[in-house]
Amino acid sequence: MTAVAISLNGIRKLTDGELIEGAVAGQVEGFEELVRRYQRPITSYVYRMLGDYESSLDVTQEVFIKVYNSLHKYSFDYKFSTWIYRIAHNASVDHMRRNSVTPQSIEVENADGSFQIQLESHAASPEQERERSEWRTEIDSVIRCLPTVYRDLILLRHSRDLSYDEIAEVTGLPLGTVKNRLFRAREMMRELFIQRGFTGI
Amino acid sequence: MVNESKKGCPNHGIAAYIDGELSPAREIELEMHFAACEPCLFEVNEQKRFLRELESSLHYENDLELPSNFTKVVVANAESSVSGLRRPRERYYALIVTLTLGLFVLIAVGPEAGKVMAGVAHLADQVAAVAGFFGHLVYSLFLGVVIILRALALQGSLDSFSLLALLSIVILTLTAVSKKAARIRRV
Repeated sequence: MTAVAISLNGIRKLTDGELIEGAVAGQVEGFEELVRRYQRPITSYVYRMLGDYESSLDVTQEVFIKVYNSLHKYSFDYKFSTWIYRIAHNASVDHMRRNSVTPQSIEVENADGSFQIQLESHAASPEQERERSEWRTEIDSVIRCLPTVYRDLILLRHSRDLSYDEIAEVTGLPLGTVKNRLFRAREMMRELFIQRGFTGI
Repeated sequence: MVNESKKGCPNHGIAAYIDGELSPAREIELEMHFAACEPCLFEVNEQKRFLRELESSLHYENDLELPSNFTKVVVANAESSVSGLRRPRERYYALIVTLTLGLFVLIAVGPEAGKVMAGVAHLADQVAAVAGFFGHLVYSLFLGVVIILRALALQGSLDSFSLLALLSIVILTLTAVSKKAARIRRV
């Protein structure tokens, strides 16, 4: 294990791997910097998965506690970002299962492997809606209408920029299924936009 | 519009092509197809436009407000998690404190310390006896199986069926013993 500088200025320049080594060696600053780096992307991903701000903060906190508890088991063969998104993915899916009142969680896969479009749920607060542009609101709204499995893939690919291989690792799905579902998810999104009167999509 | 593609057009391939997930050879193959297929070329441009819009929107995260002390709260909660990472020095202090307290207890009980220690020794004896019993049981079982197998092998009557039957008996016996042990533990 290499020695890691703990000055606040220096710590921001360290790689994720160096921060993990520091955290495992007992430097709380290492873990704190990891939280600072990933709190916004993880909260954003979880928020768009769940559609509820308060729950997304709780689940994000749960994700970081799991990360903290498992850091000593972390394998440097994997990218830290892939690993943490896998934990966030599992935590979001578990949360949806635990709170199975949302329509998104009641999904049945069709014979051809596709999923039905769900009813819209969890509108954001009026204050938040007013502050957003019409297009961003529409995108978020359409994403909330997607079945969970499709929403997950769209977010991992187009919001978090994960490769197909990384998405397969995060979700535990075969690579072929990832490609297939991602294609269907995009098609479904475009159909939803056309239904809402957005032409040329 | 969503593409109404012809039979043989690479629907899934278009998505993978735009995402840059294809091998260079497959990429060239598709580009040659797009050059000859107007609906596919149209679809590529439409999908690119759609994804540009989608990604510019999804990458916008400034409207996601986090509580001002979120980082500190998350770190504090993670650190207070019982099974979390423990600093080596923290573990060392915990061991010293526990040993010191144990020593104080022994001094406090004074003449009664002998009785306390006798109780501990008695408990250790019982645990050793139970462990010895189960160890002996498993040893005897395997010894018996080895003797039977050797006898059968010497007679030349050890075929795959009898071996399977013997293994089944061993597995069933081990399962029964483990269930019995679990019941004893519960009692």
